[in-house]
Amino acid sequence: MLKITGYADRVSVTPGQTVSFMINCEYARYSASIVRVVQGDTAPEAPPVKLVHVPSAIDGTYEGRPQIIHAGSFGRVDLDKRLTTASISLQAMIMPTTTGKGRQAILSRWDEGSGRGVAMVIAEDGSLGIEISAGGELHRISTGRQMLDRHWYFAAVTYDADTGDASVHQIPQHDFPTIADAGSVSARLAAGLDWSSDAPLLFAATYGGTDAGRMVARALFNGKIDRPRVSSCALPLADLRALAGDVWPKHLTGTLFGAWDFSRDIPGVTFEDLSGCARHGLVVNMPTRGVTGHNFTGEDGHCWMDKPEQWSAIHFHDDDVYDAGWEIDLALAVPETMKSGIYALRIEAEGEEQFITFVVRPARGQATAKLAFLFPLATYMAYANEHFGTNDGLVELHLNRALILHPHQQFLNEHREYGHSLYDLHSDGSGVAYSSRLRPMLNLRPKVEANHGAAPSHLWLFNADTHITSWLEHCGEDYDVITDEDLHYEGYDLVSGYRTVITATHPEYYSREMYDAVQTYTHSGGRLMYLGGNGFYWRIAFNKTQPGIIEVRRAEGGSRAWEPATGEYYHSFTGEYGGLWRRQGGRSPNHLVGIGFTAQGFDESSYYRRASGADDPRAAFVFEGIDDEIIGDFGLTGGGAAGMELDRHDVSIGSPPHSIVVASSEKHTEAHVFVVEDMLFNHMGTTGDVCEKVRADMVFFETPRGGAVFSVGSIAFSGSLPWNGFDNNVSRLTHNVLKRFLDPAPFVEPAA
Amino acid sequence: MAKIDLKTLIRNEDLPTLVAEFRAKPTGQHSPALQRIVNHIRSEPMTGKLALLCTKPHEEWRLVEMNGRGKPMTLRDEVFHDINDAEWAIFKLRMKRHFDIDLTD
Repeated sequence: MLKITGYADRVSVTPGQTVSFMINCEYARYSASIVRVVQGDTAPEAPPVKLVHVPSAIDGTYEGRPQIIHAGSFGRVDLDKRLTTASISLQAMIMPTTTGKGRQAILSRWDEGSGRGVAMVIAEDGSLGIEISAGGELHRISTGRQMLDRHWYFAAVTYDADTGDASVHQIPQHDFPTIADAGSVSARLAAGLDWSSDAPLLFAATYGGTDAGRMVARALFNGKIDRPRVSSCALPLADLRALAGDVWPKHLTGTLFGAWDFSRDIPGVTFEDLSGCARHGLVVNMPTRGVTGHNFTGEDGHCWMDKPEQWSAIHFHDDDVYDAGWEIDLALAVPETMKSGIYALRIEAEGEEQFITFVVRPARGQATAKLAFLFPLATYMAYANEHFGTNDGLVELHLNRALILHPHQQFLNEHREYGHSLYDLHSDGSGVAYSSRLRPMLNLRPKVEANHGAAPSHLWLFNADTHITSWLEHCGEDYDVITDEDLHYEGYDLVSGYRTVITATHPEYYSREMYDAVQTYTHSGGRLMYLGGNGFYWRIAFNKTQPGIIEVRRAEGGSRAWEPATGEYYHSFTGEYGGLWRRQGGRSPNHLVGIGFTAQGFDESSYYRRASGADDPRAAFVFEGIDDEIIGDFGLTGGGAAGMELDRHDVSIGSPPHSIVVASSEKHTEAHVFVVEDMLFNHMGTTGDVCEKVRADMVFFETPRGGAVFSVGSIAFSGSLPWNGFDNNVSRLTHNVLKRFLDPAPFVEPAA
Repeated sequence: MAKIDLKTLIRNEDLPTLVAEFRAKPTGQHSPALQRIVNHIRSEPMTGKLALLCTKPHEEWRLVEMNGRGKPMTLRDEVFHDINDAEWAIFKLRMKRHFDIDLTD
């Protein structure tokens, strides 16, 4: 099991800036150094691993210390300890999702350390209850009627300090025959219980103290909370029901302690108290916002901006994590002379090795090469800590081979607090919509294998992308490295200084800003080499106030790991409609790069056959010096250049009419299956062995002002570059394109 | 139902030929009959699923049994140094588990 993990405060750093490293090391001491990452594939068939030591002030040995993550989202309202009330009512509309989990707090001012406080909880038996204690005896009552998962309830509890009377009201929004899930119970507890404590008022958790500057939450609740209210007296049920709306009877406002509206600041981390008491709060660990409330009708629009009052809920998860909040162990002031590239902090102790990958980019507006490698940080974040190998029993039918797990996946299955990827489900079965880089990303490192990406190398994303960087260095091509997070924030300016931009193997996740920057680049004379498959596919959003976190809403359709609920198709971070770029109006990947996702399969890759378009004089440079009919019948990713995820040229979806197909793949395995978004009715004949649309098209086209695009449409493609010591027809063909793309001579769009 | 159909399929097909096909090449495109068997036995739920834990990159794999979300996997004794041998071992165990067929090397 891993004993070293870590992350950096930023993945992209500019010379002159400092990057800080947070390290969990269970060994007494570790050594650390900086390496430049050129080639991270450890397969015997690959060129030797190339991690170049870069002398720095980091070089040395250090004392290890454990650091842990406190996962689980909650809301907090910090209150003065003296600000308390003896009698109290707590209430909300709730939609629990794991009633069988055990004790979960919905609204609490409960200090786990002293065992003192008051809380509205889901009790051990899955029913609603109240807990109250002055630090000694724990008083609790509950309805004893387990709630249904994923159904809405009116939930309220009260305590009258004068009489000791406590009550619990659990009222389902919908009644079902055979389901007895409504209940109101009351009991006389001790009067005058002084439950006051140092605990803040928390939503979806109780207070477990602090650890290294972080608030620790306990009794984490899974599900939605809508319209929580607190009153400083014990209210009768009729008054509690009256407070559940958005307009309150005057006689209840005097005792209203707080009434929170989660539809305010949906993109951010605050939530507003509308009671007039100004007890505003903050969410921690990024629970999902922009989710439908108990009153969502489906008739008044589907975007939270249409009628925010129908999206006044927050979905909390006990495994949400945003910023791990670890203390800094090491920092590197990046010297002005440090060449742009991919680097990693290498940590080693007792034979265990870990890496924290980062990019040194050039200073803003100061490209230091004609070529830029576009590091797909957003996609790496989307896949960060993926649990493909432990999620779904059908994973082997994707792979068409045995499931091989790697140590980091074994660790992540057991350490759910490290958070999930956008391909995973939360512990309550809801899809993971947010992914942060402010936590260890255990699959963003050299020398790591994956479930996807086939033999012999078994690489996926970052480590597979080192096949491209090692090829560039083998060819002696100078290049800068920039990240697509930089592209999001700086737009076209980031790439305007480059003659050619080269992508990674799978640049799948794009924000509007990223998409627009690439399109502006290719329409302004830039040359784009898209050396991958299934690129520019999902629309994502970055958060405008919280750094290092992205959001996806897998709306409508597409090849997807989960489906959002109706009414949750719009990003909470921006209000933009989520889903596939091909559903975003004239912005399919085909529009941008001439091809779009058509099939996936992860067992073996195939080859390309030269197409008639290769003879077109406009594209003659691609095959210059290559007489082969078959291209790439070899490679480190599945044994061929065409495989894993494939893109097809299709003018009807947006491929420019003048784009030229210079080669197409064929003879894919049955494991490569046609994508669902291209199927209306399901039909036979959709697998690679029989479906002609299961293929990769290699495409070239000219763009305005002398620019051009070259796309290969296969994730496996770059796994062929290093084959046979980089001496092969994929390498030659790709270098032909790169040389022409670096040539300043403008491309000329063909005349009508 | 599918299981009965597969049992019929196995009875009617030349089982040694299908087994030999798998032994020769456990990954990639199989014949229709073998692919159907393989798809069935590889559809085990995550709890109880046989899998491999890579213990030395590209050199050593250990047989494991998955126990579901968040739960430690059970490490079994079998260790392999060739991934095709590991595939074959899992195939044999699953043919026993799903069809009560004993296969030998």
